[in-house]
Amino acid sequence: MKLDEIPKKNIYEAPADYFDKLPGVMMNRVTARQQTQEIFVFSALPWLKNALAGLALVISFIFIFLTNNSNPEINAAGSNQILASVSENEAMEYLLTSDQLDNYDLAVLPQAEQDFTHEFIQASEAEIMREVELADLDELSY
Amino acid sequence: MEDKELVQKFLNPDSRNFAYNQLVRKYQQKVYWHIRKMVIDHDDADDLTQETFIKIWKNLENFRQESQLYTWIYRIATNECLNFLSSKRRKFFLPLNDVAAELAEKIDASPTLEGDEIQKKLQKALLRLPDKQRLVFNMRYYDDLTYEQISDILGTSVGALKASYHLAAKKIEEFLTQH
Repeated sequence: MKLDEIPKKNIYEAPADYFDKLPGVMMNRVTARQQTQEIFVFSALPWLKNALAGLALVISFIFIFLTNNSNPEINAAGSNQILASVSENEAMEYLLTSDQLDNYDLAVLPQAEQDFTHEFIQASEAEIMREVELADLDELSY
Repeated sequence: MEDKELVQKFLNPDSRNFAYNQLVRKYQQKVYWHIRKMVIDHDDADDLTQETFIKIWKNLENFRQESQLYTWIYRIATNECLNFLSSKRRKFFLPLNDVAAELAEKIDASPTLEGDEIQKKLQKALLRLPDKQRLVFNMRYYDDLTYEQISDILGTSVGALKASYHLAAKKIEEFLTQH
């Protein structure tokens, strides 16, 4: 049998009104896609704002850290000036009232004036030396 | 509306929905029937037709007008069909003949087919062809596309398409004679 002997015919059928409805179905689908994309962007916006705020904060800290530590000599000089402006009484007040001395306090101690001990240790140098010699060495700790 | 105008209107966000609606109306029948002849079942054809138009929506912005719009649309629909049929085989570990047998059963069982016995026999003969050969036959025989147009769609040379079509016609005639 030859193909030419068979009439050319589409034997399949689509449901009635299928082609009337399909454009609407497709418009609904693409509109839903658009809305989903918009909702995603919109919902991601607060998260994006928080992330940007956090990032700005981190960058600010890094900037401040870098600019404050860019010249250690200037910073040291600035610290000495500040320390010099503190009166001895205020320094004593701070040392007596603070619970603990930290490493920073110990580090700046040599920079303070050396003779302030005379004001609060009511003893002569000879008396102090005698007390030191009599002290039990085992009680010393590092 | 001409295809070029459709594409231009689609590229403009203000007229995109209107252009897309016009495009679906213009090509829905060609796309659906092209797919339906390959997958036989209406529900499968409906799914693949919708997927084709979704892909058109997503990719029309990137469509470079080097080829004709309808060959580009046909290419998307053709890829959907080939992917569907090959995934069906992979999913159920079916060889070519088993998928053909399953589709042939659908032809027998479908109450909506309006053809007589010789028409159904022709469809069953077509199902025995490899997918790409069946595509070539459908586009040439039913859609009256030229070999040059089919070449644009499938990216196959005109010579190879002519050979494929004549071989397919010969196989079909043999089947019709024997059954």
